[in-house]
Amino acid sequence: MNAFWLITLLVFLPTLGAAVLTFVPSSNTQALRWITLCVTALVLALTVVGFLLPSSNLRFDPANDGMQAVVNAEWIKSFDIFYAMGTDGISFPLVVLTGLVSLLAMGASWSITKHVKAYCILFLLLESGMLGVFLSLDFFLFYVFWEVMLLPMYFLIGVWGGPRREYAALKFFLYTLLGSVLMLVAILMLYFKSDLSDPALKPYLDKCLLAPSVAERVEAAIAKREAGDKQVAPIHTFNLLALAQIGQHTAQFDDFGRNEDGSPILLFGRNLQWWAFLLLFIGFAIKVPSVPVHTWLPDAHVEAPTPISMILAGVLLKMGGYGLIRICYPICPQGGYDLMYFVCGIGVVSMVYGAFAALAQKDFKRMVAYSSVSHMGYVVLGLGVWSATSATGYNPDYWNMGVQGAMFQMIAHGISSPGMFFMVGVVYDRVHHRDLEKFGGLFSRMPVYCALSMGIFFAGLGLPGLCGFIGEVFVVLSVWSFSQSLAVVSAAVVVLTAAYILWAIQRVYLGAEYKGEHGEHLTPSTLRENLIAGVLFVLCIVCGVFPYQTILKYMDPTVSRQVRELTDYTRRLEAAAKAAKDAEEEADKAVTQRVPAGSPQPVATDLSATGSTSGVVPGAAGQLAVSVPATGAAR
Amino acid sequence: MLPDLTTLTLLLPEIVLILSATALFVGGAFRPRAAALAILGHGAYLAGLLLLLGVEWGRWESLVEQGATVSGPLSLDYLGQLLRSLTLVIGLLLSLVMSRTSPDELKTEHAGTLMLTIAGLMFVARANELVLMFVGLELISIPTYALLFMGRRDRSTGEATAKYFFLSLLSSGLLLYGLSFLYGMAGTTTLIGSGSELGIREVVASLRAAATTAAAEASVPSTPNLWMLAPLAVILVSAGLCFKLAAVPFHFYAPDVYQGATAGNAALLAVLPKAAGVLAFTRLIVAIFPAYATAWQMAVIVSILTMTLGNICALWQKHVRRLLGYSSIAHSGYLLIGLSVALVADNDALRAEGLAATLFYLAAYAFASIGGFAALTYLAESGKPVDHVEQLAGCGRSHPLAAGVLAVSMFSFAGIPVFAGFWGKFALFASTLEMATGATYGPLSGWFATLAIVGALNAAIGAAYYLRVVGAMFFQSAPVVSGSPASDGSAATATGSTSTLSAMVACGVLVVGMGVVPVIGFRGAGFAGKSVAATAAVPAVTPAVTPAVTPAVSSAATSLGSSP
Repeated sequence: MNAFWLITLLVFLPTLGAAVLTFVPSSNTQALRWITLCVTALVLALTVVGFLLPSSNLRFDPANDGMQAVVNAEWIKSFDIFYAMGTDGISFPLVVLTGLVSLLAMGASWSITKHVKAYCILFLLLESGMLGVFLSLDFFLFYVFWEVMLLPMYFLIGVWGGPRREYAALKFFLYTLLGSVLMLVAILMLYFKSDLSDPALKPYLDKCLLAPSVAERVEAAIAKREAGDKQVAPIHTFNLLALAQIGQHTAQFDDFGRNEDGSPILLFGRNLQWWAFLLLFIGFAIKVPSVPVHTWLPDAHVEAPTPISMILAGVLLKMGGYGLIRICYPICPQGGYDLMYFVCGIGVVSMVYGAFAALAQKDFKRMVAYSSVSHMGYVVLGLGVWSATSATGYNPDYWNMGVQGAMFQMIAHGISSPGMFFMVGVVYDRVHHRDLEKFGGLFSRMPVYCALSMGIFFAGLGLPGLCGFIGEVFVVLSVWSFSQSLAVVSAAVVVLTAAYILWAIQRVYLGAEYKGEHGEHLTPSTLRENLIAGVLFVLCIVCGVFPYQTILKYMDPTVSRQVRELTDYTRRLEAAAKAAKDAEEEADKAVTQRVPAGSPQPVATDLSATGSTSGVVPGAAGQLAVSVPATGAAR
Repeated sequence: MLPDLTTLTLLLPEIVLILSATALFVGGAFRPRAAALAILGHGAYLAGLLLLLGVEWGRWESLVEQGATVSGPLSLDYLGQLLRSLTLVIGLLLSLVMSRTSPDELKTEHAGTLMLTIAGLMFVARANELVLMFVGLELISIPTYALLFMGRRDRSTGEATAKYFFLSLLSSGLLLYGLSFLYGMAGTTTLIGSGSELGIREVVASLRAAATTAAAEASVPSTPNLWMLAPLAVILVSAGLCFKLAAVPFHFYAPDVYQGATAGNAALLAVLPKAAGVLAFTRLIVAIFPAYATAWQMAVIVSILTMTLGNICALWQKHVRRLLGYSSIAHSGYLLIGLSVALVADNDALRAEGLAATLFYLAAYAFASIGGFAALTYLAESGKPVDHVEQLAGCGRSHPLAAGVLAVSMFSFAGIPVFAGFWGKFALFASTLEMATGATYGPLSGWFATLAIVGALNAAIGAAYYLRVVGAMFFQSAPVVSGSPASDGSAATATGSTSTLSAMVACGVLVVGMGVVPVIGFRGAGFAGKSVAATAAVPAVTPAVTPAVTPAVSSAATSLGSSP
């Protein structure tokens, strides 16, 4: 099969399924459910058959550190927007996870009895959107999928949710929309500032995977520019890989343009990279969610029906982390460098706050929701530990460990968290309340269910041998070389996690006898429920015992390459900063030497003031320098 | 001077509309219920559209190639043609929406009055002359006063109409005063000159160039330069147009009037004056004062204030039409984003982009507005009059089609992808950020980056109340009325008129269509933007021009001097 069809089919198979469902009569709920289940199963099968079977010609090669199965078709010509898709070690595990969680969540959807047809259609559209986000290589396409996903989710929470569903759906929508419009601003800033015809980009063009038509134009434009033609029109791009190369190897994102005297235009003393990083980070932090902007999550989770909670926790939260690692850091590395303590701080605060909040909850589902905030804090922290600086002699190993830990944590949380939400849903379906105080003694009534639950909850706790352990340990270890105080705090969170999970297990499953309402409905779990929980439970163990073979093997080369590249970037950046600082000192010296002579030279101070605003002189290092300002050519 | 035949053919669609309106007025006096008149009420727009697309088809093609041509008082550019056809479509949709709401005995008068406003907007679309522009604007306003009264006759309508009437007069006065300054500066009423005949644009450009050189040479100007009047002209004209746009600080009337009007009249108020405001702003400010700091800074500030204030006030509204009134204020702020980019841009390409974005946004906004108000009209016709947002509860089940179109309109307003409004916002932000990242001096970058970020934040604020409407329709179940089941039953049997239904569905399809295939809309808007951008380029001031200017200028100066 060729890559175009495989990827297109993968993303749009659920849409196709949704289209088919419109012709099924809405009274036939069983058929609707089974068709939807088959479609989700087919999507998962397609990823396995297409990417994992040895016989497939598109088999995902774990040793390859670049993009695989790349598709690059023209979509909107006037803006150079491409239908560019592909997968690498970062997105591939998340694509498989999406397929898996969708299948299991659909299996859990048998409890939905209201407007089944609309539910199934929206569910499938949601799955299309999620797969599209992880596979997109074009920033605009990514944005469209990101936004398109919002509408089904809004309705799924709003129509099928609990008593405060309208409020929760609105809150979810508004928070995400706020993040995504800020992201749109960042996307457009980067787009209009990017210029593929920059000669400094020439050695890296083959990494950008440009479409042949664009590549031709770019080569011609570079040739012209090298020949001294100043009037070459800039070639803007939405290509994520090209933007990453531009961000790391050219000075295009180091200003908002040039004043007529050639000095860089900055916004409140910060350059474009810094602002773009901040705007993108806000957008992704809302999705993760990180602490100041996390408040939509508990409401959305509590009100959403069980399967939607599973999707929300299992896949949607991962998009935030995915955006950080795929977009923020590679494209705006300087912003990431300047803000590394801010990002890590956000991560640690989320971990601590989420854990304390989980401890305080009386509602079972709300507690699990806050545990997600805490667990996703590890992801932000792991991605942000920029320890490969001059302090460590540019050693990328610890940062690499942190990023891999964060990626592993995303997958592990994508397995354990849907499991926890499902377990809460199973008992809620029976007794119709989630009050932790009124549970107890479930073990004697539902033994299989309780055994599986405890396994999954222990995985969430991070018990060695289960999947939650690996990610947490990797992250905490890597933080040590970055900041020891943060490492101590993040390690201490493990204790809090153990506290809220063990306390919840004690209150719900242990105890002598169930005394709450609807005790007569506490029947043992059904085969369907056991099957779903069983799959998640087995995965928790397998990923915990064989972390390398199941997950790390696929992501290791890609993550290592990206961290290595960013380490090289750090080296250049710090060298440039040092050079600028030296130049400034020289200039200062020159001024102080002349002052006694009685003729201060304002020119010298001016020179030193132009570049020192953000700590780094854009383009001061040899590798970063670009001789042709893009804006000059645009005129 | 008698108008020659070419001028008449150029105005054929407008003439058809005005003649039809006259026929409706006269015929309606004798046979108010004649079927032929009812058909004429809708058919005239179709006829106009056919004439425009059919007879002038050849001209469209040439317009794309040669940019703008000017023929006396009319500017025959692509912008004019595009907006005229858009206006006719809007007219048809509005006439369909309003056909049943008007009282039966006034049906023909209602249709005729609406037709006149449409003809007025078509004049504005291609006016190249101050007087024609003003007459066009008044041809929109004056029939609107009558229309507002015809819709409903209760206390609140009376108050709303009176409010609109007086404020509209005030704004016309301001605009006229501003136009008089333009005339005073240039000594002519033609906006863009053709050939040897100079227009306001050329004279203003040369005045400005003279003022700049005088300032550069730092010599004391011997005679006061008329360029000094530019700020007054810009501010007064903008103030008059801000009323049409419902932009801060002339926005106060909008929520009250929308609330007091019928849904159909609210649709008219939301679309026609706004389109006229955008067009007049383009012709009077963007084309004549390109890259003029006072003008663009004012536009940016008004834009930021307008969208923020509109959105924040809308958050607390419970009345649907009042909510949409504030929302229309917010959208004016967005329209001003594109206009301010067009104003500040120093090259044709970017100026065209700003204008194109504004036009696309205007079209998306117009269709979504008409669709939304048509859905409200349809609900009222089906026995479910909606004044408050809570009254929409359960509509998603009981009236799926109307609720669907209303939801599509709301999502389009909020700027969610696959609806037209998203591409409008995208184009606006794109032009703003292109300005911000391509700037050649620092503060410009700051202004426009701020504008983009405020616009983005406003998109999120706006979504809050749009989603409240959607949520009420789909997430809340209809309240169980503990009353007579008989009235309930009759309400269920009443159905909306087919005309409203068709307008509503057409708007929904247009909004989704423009969202799925935005390329066609962008192409048209792009051509229109280019056609004006080219004319807005400051013509080179050659010495040959200057002497020709002087008599006009001096005569204007003397007339100014003598007037007080």
